[in-house]
Amino acid sequence: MLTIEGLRVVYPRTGVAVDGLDVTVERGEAVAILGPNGAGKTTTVRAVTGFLSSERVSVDARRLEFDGASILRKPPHRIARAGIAVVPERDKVFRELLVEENLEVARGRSGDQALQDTQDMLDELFPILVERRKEQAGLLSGGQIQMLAIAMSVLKRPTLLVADEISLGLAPALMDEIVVALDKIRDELDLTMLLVEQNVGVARRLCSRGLVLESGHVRATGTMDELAADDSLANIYLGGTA
Amino acid sequence: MLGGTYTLLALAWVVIYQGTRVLNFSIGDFMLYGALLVSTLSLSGLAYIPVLIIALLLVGVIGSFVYLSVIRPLTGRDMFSTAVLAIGVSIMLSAVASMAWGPELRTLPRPLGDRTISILGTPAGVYSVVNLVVALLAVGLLTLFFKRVRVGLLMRAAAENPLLASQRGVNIFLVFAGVWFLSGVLASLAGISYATTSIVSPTLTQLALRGLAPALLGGFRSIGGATIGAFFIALVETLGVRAFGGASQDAVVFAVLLLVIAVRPSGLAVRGDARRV
Amino acid sequence: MAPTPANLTMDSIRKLLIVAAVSTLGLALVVVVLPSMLSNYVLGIGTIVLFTIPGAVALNIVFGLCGQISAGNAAFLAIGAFIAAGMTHTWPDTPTILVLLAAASIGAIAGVLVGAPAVRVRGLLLLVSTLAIHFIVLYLTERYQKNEVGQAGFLLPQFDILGWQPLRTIEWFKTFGVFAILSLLVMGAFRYSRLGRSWLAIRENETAAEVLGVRLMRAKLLAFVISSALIAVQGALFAYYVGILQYETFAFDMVIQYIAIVIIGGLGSIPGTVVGATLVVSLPYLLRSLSENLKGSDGIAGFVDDNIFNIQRFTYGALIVVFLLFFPDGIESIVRRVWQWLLGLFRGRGDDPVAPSEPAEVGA
Repeated sequence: MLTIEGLRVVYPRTGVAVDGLDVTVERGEAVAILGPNGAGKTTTVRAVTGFLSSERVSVDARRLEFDGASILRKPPHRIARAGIAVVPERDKVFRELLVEENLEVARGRSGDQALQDTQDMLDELFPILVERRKEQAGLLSGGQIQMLAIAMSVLKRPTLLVADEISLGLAPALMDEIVVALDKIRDELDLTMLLVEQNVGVARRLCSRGLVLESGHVRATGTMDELAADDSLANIYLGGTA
Repeated sequence: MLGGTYTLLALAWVVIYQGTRVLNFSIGDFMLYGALLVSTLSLSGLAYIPVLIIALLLVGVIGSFVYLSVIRPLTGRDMFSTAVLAIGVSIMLSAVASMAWGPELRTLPRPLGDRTISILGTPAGVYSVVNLVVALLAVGLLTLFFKRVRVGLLMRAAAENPLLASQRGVNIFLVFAGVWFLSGVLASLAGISYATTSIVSPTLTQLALRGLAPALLGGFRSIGGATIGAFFIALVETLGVRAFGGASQDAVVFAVLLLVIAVRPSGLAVRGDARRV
Repeated sequence: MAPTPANLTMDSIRKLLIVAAVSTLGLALVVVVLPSMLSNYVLGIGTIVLFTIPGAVALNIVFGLCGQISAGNAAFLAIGAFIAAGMTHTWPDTPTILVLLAAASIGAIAGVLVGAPAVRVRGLLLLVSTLAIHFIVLYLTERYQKNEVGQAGFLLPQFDILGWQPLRTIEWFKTFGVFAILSLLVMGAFRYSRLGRSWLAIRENETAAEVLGVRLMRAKLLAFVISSALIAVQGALFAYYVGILQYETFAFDMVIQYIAIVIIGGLGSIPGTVVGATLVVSLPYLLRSLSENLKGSDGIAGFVDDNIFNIQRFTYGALIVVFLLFFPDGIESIVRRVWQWLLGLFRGRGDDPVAPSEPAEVGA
């Protein structure tokens, strides 16, 4: 349902960030984008989620489509309404707002039953958010912020979830909890996922196949097992195998 | 009580700056338009309250319009450029006002008459009191609005992180247009309330620049801070005028502001960097 | 080509030659060609353009190159002007050169006084601080004037440097022309110097610049001081030119005018300053002659006539808006793009992309 063909992103100062990226994500799949720092993973996320539409960045692709409709250079809220939700790498919650206010913003205006069900599920998965709902989001710990960010992004039952470095900076136990939660959410909501990860272990648990980016180019594609077994890839990035 | 007017003004500045990171130098003109509109509309025979409401709404709409047509295309530029843009708009607006309404001074209707009320023993013109009450009401309503009303919440979210808000499905351009609408209403309210106690003249716009001071003192971030700043500045200005004469208003207010900045630049909690792409 | 000592010298010589050529050209234009070609009326406008240029250069140094938002230009202009007025009022026989030097020095000192705290703040705070300076200085000059000479303003004696006593428009045109070219040279000199490069770095990103070793405070302070000295001298010259100095001249409108010039012309651009100044200054006159031409048709002309001032203001504001919307990098970016396109036609490789479009480079 997400088709990217020939994605090329050029920043005005730093030059080419992504060149010739092709990837297709079918409904129900979970695909990982792996690679070291600066490989262009976040840039890809940005291109897909509309972040780049207002910058003086050149974004080009033969095809950048979601469900058949082009999302090339569309503004973020348009893309969100189309059903793509993103958990960004940084600035993922409104720190000054309260936890429940964060969710309120993400909720949109619909108050139907499906929304309530999703909320209930999230409350169960992340009880700490219920507990601290009247606190400022900025006061939460890194892991809790991550939970909030995920909750916000799935609240409106998107079709595709794009997550950028979900595991970044999290202790293994916490990461475990989040991965398990994400798995459950994916099942409940029938989510398709595109995960950007440096941590291969996390990627392996959630995704069936992936591709490896380096310096803006695709170096390898395949199932997660194939990628993990490829020794030459271990040299490409320092993320290591988990 | 000047304090009331300054409060409204400061709020107008803060709302826009917080919401859209633009220093809206057109606020002075919004003030003027508000007052002028009331003066003209009241000649049409409508009762005062409808006239007031129409004037406020109209200026609000003008504010949104300015945002959508002129400010929005420049999203993400540095603050100076957008400020100059606002100045350009302000010049255009004041020229139009001058052409449309001419240079005569006008007075605004005073449905409550010219009575003097005695507050805690000191006599005060009734409208001075009204200004104060209105300003405080506005403060209260605004605070409630931002806290409880969904649109207010969206404004806060969009102010903090427009990209994230957009990613969560919020149409930030509409929200920002709303912010400008709000600021326009506040500014015109300030203009109307001030002009009611004196006269409508083009010099009304000068007040707006001084309105920056309380906004800054309050840290440009909080409603409460702006209010306190407003009364402080009003006091300063009144004292200054008494000591140095009428022409010193700007100098005195800004001198005090400078002093405060010099002493505690970080203490004002302003996010002082020029925002750039 | 790898930079060998021989290359560097050739390069510097080449640059020096270009600079010399351009400035001689400019001087010739200003002192000889234009005065003989243009009518007195146009020369009058030209004089105003010319004496606006150094002020714009000063703002360009502080804001265009160094990125420090400053609303203080009118204030420093006033300082320079009132120093001149005050000095000649108190000591009527002071030679002009001394007055100018005094203006420069006091301007510089004022620059330090303002700059020292100013370099500690950025953005919004800086803007408001300089705005405060504007109003405070304005008030002080008002008081000073009222105390000394009253509402009528200061009268200045004849400008006299080594016997050159400009009286007629054409003579002032040449005087200001020389000064304008000098100030542009100064801007060019700084821009391509190490100091200038550190200014540009600061403008881009202060934190990054600091990390790269730029001495932030020193560079910013220097920008302020140089700029204020320059504009103070400009103020003094201006005082001599108008002959009668009143504080009302230095209203907030003037601040906006200079800012508009710098933004329209392009931040830090030398040709942009000239073009910007010409545009902004001559606009009211252009409009006036336009409206005179419209005098034929009745209804419109009547309206235009009565409201000429407001229409000018409106167009002025609209110009600013349009420019910012469509040419946010100012005129220079257009000129540069056209120039580089032309260059591309002539030869394969491009030149230093930061260099402004100097006409002399075509042959080089």
